[in-house]
Amino acid sequence: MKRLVLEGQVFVRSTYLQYVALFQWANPQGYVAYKVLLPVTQILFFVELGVYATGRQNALYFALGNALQLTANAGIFGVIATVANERQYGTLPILLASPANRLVTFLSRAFVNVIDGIATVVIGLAVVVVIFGLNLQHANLLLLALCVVVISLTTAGLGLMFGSIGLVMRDAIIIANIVYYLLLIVCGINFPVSRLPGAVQVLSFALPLTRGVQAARDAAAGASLGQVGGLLAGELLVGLSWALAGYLLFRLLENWARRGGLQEAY
Amino acid sequence: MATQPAIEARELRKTYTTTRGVFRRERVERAALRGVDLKIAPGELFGLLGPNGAGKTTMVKIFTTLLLPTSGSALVLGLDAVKEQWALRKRIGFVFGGERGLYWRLSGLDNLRYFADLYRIPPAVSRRRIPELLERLGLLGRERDRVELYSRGMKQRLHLARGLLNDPDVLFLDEPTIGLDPVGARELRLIVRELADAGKTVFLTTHYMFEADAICDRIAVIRDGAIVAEGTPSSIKTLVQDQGIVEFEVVGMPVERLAGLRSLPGVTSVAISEHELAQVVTVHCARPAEVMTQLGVILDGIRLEKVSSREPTLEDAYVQLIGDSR
Repeated sequence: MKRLVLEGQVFVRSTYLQYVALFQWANPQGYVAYKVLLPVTQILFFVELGVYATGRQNALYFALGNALQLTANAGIFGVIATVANERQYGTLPILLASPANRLVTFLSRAFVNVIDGIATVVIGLAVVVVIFGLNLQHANLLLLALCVVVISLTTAGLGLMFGSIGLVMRDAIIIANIVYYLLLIVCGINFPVSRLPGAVQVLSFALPLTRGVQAARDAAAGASLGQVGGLLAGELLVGLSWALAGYLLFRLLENWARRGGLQEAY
Repeated sequence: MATQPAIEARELRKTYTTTRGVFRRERVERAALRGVDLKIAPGELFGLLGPNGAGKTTMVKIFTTLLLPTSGSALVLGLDAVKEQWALRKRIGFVFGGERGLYWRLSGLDNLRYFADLYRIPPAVSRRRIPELLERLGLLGRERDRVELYSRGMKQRLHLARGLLNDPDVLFLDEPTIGLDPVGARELRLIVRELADAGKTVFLTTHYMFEADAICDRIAVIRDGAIVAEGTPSSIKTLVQDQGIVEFEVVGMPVERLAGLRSLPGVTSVAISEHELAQVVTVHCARPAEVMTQLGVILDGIRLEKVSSREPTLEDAYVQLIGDSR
C-alpha cells in the first residue's frame, strides 16, 4: 500500500512537472490566452456563422457543440504537443533512453490533458450560459458532467494515437491541426451527423466525440443515464480503442526511431 | 582471469539509409561506422577523437541504446545494447553537448526531480542524491532558478548532474565542453577526471585535443567511421615523433600556392586555418629545416610572419591521422 502511494505521488509530480515544462500556457497569462480567449473566440465564430446560415433559433445547438468540442483542444493538441515539444526541446532522446515505464509515461501524458480538457469545457459552457443564455434548469447536470469527463478521456485517446507519430515525424503538430478540424466537421458539432454522406458517417462513428456530444446534448435537455448509457459506453469503447492503438503504435515507432536515429531530428 | 571490458564494440557497423528526390525517389546509403572494434576497461577515461561526421555520436547513440547498429555488437557492462536495453539503461548515464535536453521553464531542481522519476530512483534516494549533485557541480544556491536563466556552463553542469542521477557505472559524454568558455570547460574537465578517479568508466567524445591529452587515460581517433589509431595520448604522439612541424602566418594567400609546399620531399601534410585576418599554415614534415629554407622560394612575393618549427603535439598527430580525409 505504501509503495502504491509512493508510485502515485511520483506519477502526480512527474505529470505536473511535465505539464509545466512543456506548455507555454502553464502560467496565468498563457492560460487565459490559450484556454479562455481562444476557445471563446472559436465558440463565438461558429455560433455567429451558424446563426447567419440557419437562424437565431439554432444558436444554442452551435454553442453547446463547440463548447464540448473544446475537449479536443487539450486532448488532441495537448497530447500531440507533448511529444512534439519533447522533440523541440531535445529531451526526447533522454526520455527514450531512460528505463521509464512506457505505459506510465504514456498515460501521464494523457492524464493532465484530460483534466485540462474538462476545465476548458467548463469555461466554454460558462460562456454559453452567460452569453447565449443556455438554460440548464431542466438539464441532468451530473450526467452532463459525466459526458464531459468521458469525451475528455476519449479525445485524449485519439490524441495518444497521433501523438505517437511525433516519435518519428518532425512536424507532428500539423497532424493535430488536421485532426482538430476533422472533428469539427464530422462529429456533429456544427451540424447533425445524419446530414453527412454515408461513408463519412462511418468515419464519424469511428471517432471520439460523435456519441459523447450527442449524449451531452441529450443530458443538457434532461435525459437520464439510462437513455444515453449506450452512447456513453460506445464513446468510451471508441476512445479506449484509439488509446490502445496509440500505445501499440508508440512502442512500434519507438523501435523504428531506434533504427533510424530519428529522435533528435527537429 | 581477464576483466570484462566495461564497453566493447565488435565489428560495429552502422549505415544510414535515406531517400532523396520527390518523384523519382533515390535511396542513398551512408556508412557512419565501418566495423569498429573497441575495448574499454572498467574505470578508464576513454576519449574518442574525430572530425564532424566521423561517427563519434553514432557510436555514443548505439552504446546508449538510442540507435540500432546495422551489424556487429555493442556491449556495455556485458549487456547487449540492442537486446538488453532495459537492464542497461538503469546502469548508464549520458550527456550530449549543447544547451538542448533540459526543460528551460523548470528550475534546475525540478529538472533533476523529473529525470529522477523517469529513472525510477526511489524518492528517499533522490532526496539525498540531488542536493549532493547540486553541490558537487556548483549549482547549489541557484537550484530554484528556472533553467532559462542559467549560463551555458551551468546548463552543461546540470546536464552532467542529470547524467549522474542514477549513479551510473558508465558515463557517456558526447562533446560535453562544446561552446563553453575556457573556465567553464576547465571546471567540467576537472569534474570528469574526478569521476573517473572515483571509479566510473567514462566514454568521452571531443574535438579538443588538449582536452583529451589533459584528462584521458586512453584515446582512439576515428575517421570516416573507422578507428585509425588507439592508445595513450603519449603513444599516439609517437606516431609523429619522427616528424617536425613548421608553422607560419600569411595574409590573403591563395590556397593554390600551397601545392608547391605539398610537393616538397618529406612533407606529409599541409593544413591551413583562419586566425582572425591571418591564415596559419601548419606543415608536417620529416626535415623542418629544409622546409624552412624552401619557404621563401615557394611562396615568393608573399609576406611570411611568425615562422617557427616545433615538436609535434597530440593535435599534430590527430591532424596527420585525419588530414587526408578532409
